[in-house]
Amino acid sequence: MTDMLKRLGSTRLTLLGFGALGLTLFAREMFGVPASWWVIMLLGVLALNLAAALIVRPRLRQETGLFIFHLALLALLILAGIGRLTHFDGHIEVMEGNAFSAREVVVDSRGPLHPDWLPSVNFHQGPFSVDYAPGVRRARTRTQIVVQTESGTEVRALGDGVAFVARGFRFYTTHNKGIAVVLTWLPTNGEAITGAVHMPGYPLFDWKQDNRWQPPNGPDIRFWLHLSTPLQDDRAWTLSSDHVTGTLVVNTQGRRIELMRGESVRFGGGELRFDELRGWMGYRIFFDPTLPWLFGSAIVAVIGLALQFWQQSRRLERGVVGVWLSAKGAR
Amino acid sequence: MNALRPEVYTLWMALGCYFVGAVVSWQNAIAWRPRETAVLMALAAGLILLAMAIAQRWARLGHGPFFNMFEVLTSNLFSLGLIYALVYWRYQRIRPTARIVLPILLIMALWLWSLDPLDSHFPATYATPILWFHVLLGKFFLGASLVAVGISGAVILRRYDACANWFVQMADDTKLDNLAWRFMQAALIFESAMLIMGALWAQDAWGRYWAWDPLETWAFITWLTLAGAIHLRAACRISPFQGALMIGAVFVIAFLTFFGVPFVTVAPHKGAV
Repeated sequence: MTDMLKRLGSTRLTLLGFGALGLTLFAREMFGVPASWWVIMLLGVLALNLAAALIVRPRLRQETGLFIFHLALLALLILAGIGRLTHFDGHIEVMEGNAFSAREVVVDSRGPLHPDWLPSVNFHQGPFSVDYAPGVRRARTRTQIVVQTESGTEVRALGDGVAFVARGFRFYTTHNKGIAVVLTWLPTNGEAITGAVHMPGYPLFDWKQDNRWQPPNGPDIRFWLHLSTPLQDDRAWTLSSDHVTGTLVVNTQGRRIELMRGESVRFGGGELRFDELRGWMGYRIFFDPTLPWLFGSAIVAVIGLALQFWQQSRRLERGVVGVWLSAKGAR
Repeated sequence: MNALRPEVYTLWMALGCYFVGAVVSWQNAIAWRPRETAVLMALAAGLILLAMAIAQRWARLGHGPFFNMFEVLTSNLFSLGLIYALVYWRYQRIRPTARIVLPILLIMALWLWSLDPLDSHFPATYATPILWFHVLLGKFFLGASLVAVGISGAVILRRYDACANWFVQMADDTKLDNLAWRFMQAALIFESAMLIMGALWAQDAWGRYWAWDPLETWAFITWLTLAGAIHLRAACRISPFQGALMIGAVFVIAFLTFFGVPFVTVAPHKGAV
């Protein structure tokens, strides 16, 4: 058992692990080799190597700085593992005035042990604005959301570097935002339905503001939004739904109709009304309960390294190198 | 090309001072007439002029030198020059390393000279104090590595007859090896702290603390190489010459990570979105 632990905790295995991990990452980066599982496996091996080394190698325990550093590094690896098992990564577009709905979230990845608390998060999207410098270079993003709290509603301001945190989920504004066309479908028989068609991100896709929609029992409709104010890249401007106006071009059943706000058109199965334009904001949703612990462990690891360096430096200063180094003159 | 602004002329003068410093350091080696104070004076003049050039550009654009290659190289020529000048001033015994360090700075200066001094846009994701910590720690990391490379370079070069006299006044290889690795250990502390601050910034700016984007991956490869080299030296019998080669290899990877990767990728880490 001790022999096995010694082998598992050997520096040679550490070096082998470092080398393999470095080469794996290099191959992934330079040649696009899929390597996620290799990276996880190698980090796992290095975690075992580190745990065993802490048990079998007395030097790692005797030198305070070295011990703190390696212990914190082990904690970091374990926490990163827990984080991957419980994490959630997704994104969503929320239109101004609409409520966040967990059902509309696009899941990018989630750990097998992720607690499914997202449906309990609630907020309403408020207005947003994004500043642009000349050359259509994005500057500040500001957005408001309305949150239901125990004492009533609360308006929160979000933006670059300021996330909305609820039940451990962190909502970040992204570069992805755009304009939504609010429409009402009035079928010949049945209830009117009001909904929105999100146009592609603006101004990233200013040349392609189109989308399709098919109302219940209605024809397939293709929309193109022609904005009244063309994108100008020679001056600073602010994107905000307050300033956006445009004509909605509707293509269906071989007909092309231009609608202004409030206008409607009748075709097979009902009537379509163009109600208004609103903005939609794209959010990135991130969940990892280990975040503060990861940060704490990383800081402790650096403190351990610094302590080790300081202790060794004091020894060095008293040694021959220190005497030579602190001497004056060229020789 | 942008019209040349006053700060660019100040910058060229600063680079000229670095050039003079490098020439004098080599004159010290070849003509055997030590003029170490002249090297320090040239470095100091270069630093003052670089600081002025950075301040002039900062005042005009309203943001620091953080974004494009022109700004990053200018900023690093200042920080690396400053760190090396402090070491040069404090430790007289390692002053001959200027013959290695200053030419490295000169190569960076030539690279800078070849670039268009384009004005840059400061992304909103860069407007955070965390950026300052991240960048400063990175500069300390590269500065400590640069000093180690200077010392290692002396260990490597003086093995060759043609260069034997250039570093004759420095200590024996074992002492230099110990000293160089002290700087590399300091570099490991700064790089680790830089990665933490980078992760903190990435979490705030892009909603993820680590996403293996090209710069993060290369920064981690640099960390692995440095940590691996320190472990290898601790576990195996590594001669000062081999140790010096390892330090050189770590520095090359770090240099490529700092100045190569961020500018050959359009990944979000560049802050363009």
